[in-house]
Amino acid sequence: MAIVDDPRLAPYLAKKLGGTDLSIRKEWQNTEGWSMETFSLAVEYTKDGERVAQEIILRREPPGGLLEPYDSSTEYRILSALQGTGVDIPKTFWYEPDPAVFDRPFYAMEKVDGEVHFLTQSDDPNFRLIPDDEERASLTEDFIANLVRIHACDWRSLGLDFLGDPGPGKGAALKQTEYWSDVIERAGFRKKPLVTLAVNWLRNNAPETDSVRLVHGDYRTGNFIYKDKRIRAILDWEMTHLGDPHEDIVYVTGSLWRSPPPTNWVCHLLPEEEFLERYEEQSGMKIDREKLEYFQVLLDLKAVGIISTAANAFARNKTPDLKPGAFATLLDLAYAGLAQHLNGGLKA
Amino acid sequence: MMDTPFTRIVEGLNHTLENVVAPEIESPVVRGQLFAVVEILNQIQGRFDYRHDLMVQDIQVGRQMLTTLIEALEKAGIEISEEISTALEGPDLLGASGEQLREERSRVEAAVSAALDLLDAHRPDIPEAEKVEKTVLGQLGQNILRDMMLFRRQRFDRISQRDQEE
Repeated sequence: MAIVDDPRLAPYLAKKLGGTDLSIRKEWQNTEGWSMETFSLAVEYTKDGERVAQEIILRREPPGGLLEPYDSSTEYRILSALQGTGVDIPKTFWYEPDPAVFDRPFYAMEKVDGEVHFLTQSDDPNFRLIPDDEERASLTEDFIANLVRIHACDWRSLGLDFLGDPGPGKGAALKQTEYWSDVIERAGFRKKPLVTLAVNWLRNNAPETDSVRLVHGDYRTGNFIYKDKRIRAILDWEMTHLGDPHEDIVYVTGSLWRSPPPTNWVCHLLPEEEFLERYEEQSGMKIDREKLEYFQVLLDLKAVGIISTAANAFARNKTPDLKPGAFATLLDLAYAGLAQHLNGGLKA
Repeated sequence: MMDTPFTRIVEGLNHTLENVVAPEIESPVVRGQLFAVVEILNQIQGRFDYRHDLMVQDIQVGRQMLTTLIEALEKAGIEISEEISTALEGPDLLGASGEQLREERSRVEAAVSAALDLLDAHRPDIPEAEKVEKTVLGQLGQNILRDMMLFRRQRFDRISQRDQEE
């Protein structure tokens, strides 16, 4: 049933927005995301004697999928805590835990005007996703600046310690290893020999983390809204946690988000070395190249975790959405990446 | 890829086609074509399964890995559990159904994982533990390479891309 036909939602939204006589003029379910359900609503209501037109976003937990079990309150709390820190994010409005309102818990936030990049084959002769040099330069500037701000934020004073401080030393690496090992266990893929090899290697080779930071966990082109050549909002905070910032660095430089040769730019934006240098310069943090190798294997395990969760959701018939089923077909690709990087880590 | 039973994949496809896609189709001709697809899928689901040779390869490579691990563990004087040792032998694979092959593969994979964990637990007693793990990874690599050869370029942009006119 379309939201506009759902008799529950209009009166609920009117109350929440402090208005009356609310009508949903337009709605569309975003298809870009593969995890949380995102609904865009254009609403009109009366407030203080005036008709107000507004666009809002509802982010609802899906019945099953890539990152289950879902808890949309976490993303809401992170976004709310980061307001005013300089990180480009949408304004959050409220969190609704009651499934009676819209079938599953969700939160509401502002609709940020702009576009999202699709990581698809470009028509550009050099396969550049963003061929305009000026646009790519300004997006790159914002991309690095936002990442630096996320890593630099004082998560304790922002109240983000609820995410779980992994503690000093090897805590960050080990906590993530156990987290993804558990995810794969729940999906029923933990007894794959490659997974066992990887988990044991990650446990035995965990590096020390100098300083625990806020880690976005899904930071890449395709996960931000841009307009007029600038980034307007960083999206998809579902995998955000406290940990080692090298995790995000490896994620950014990952092969899945690179432009094809001849450029091979990270996140379709800039050469890898330039990204690393500019990040180091702006953050004041020295990137440890050896650590990147470790976190690459962890990232591969994470990919196996996400894809195997999708495969499990599809196999268990948790959702009529076929996207997890399509996503599950990537499992062999994730295994190949994990095997390749693990082979580099294992000493003969 | 070959972990989800083929019948379950067909059930999932048909459920979505019938309940999500069909109600949105206005053209009776297109709806007819859609239900023809549903019908064909419905009829073949009990008659098809994953390629027998690939499943058998998975099991055989699993047993190769197991042999490598058992040799290293026995050399170090470590006792091998029954779960590990019995997985070296199994039912006749030639006449096995897809479901039986999947079960056998799971059993072998679980045994390899258990042997890897045993190796890890006794790492200080096995000087070449990491070399053994690398050998096992190399054996596993054969099938990973095979699966990559079977992988077709994905076109997820066609799934996610919103209609420009929306």
